[in-house]
Amino acid sequence: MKPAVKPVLSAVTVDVDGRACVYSPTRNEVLFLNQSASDIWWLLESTLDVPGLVDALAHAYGVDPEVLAADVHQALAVFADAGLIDPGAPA
Amino acid sequence: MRIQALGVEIVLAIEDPKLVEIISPLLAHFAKEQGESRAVVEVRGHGPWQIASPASTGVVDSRPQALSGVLTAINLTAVAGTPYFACHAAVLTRAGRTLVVPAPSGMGKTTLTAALLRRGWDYVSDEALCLRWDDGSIVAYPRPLALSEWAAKRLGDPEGVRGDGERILLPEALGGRPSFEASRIGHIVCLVRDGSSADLTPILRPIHRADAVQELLRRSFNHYRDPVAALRLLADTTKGAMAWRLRLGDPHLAAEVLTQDTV
Repeated sequence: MKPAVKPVLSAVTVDVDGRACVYSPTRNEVLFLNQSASDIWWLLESTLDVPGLVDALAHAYGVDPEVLAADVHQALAVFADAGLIDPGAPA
Repeated sequence: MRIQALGVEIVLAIEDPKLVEIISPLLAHFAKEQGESRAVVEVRGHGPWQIASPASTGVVDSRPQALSGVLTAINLTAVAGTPYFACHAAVLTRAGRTLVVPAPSGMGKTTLTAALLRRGWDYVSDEALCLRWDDGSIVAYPRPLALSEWAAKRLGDPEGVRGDGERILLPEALGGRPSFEASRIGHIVCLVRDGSSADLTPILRPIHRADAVQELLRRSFNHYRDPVAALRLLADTTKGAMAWRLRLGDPHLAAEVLTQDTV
């Protein structure tokens, strides 16, 4: 199992009715995540690795994991670019 | 003359007595008690008029321009110096519900505000939603409304004072009244315009509250002082509120739709 991707400690998340609004200290701005990006973000609180994230979301949405994998990787790349997750994390 | 706007005590030093006579009644709804900080807006001369404030300076050639210039200087000074969280939004109340309409200048906030006043809403501000950082309570900012001549004609031609290409008036001229005790935010309405849309039928659609919080934060004058605190403040104070997107068409119809759907 690969190491889990985790939010950086300095990221501050506010939950607005299920949507994640995340302050990025790197950019000094708030990222307002859409619902699917929020679902990924909330799963970062778990101990899942990236394949585990994809499987969990695919199960929740009732879709094929292969269909979802690209979207999850894209979201993680956005999080990494905003300094919200460890840049060395396996996005 | 001394007023208090958004927690800023503003001393108005105006040489022209005629300008003082015109402007004094328009500032009737500003509180007179001391503010938390202090600034001076100075107007020298009897024509041309030199206007100087911490936020802006300029020289104008007519009294209507001077009137608009002073009101703009007061607004900029208050917004720049306010100790409260502030964002660009109209705020009205009716039947215990507070409606917030965040939007940049030129989107039609003041015209919509005037149309809502015509429908019996009470006036908190056409310019700023101001929240105390500690408890999220709303601070009223009932500045005079400045309507374009187009909007004034469309809204029943209310009486007002001539400004620089605008008509300046108090909410009472539109049948409304100022409200200094706004209750919790019940509705947030984000505006969109379709080009030249003044004659279109308005469309009101629900949106996610996070999108409304994003719009409020985007329109903030001073969230940069503490972005995390601003985000938490907006998330907390809008909890339970309904969020909407309004395609702003005819202002009368928009006010009717909002009044029907949010009260």
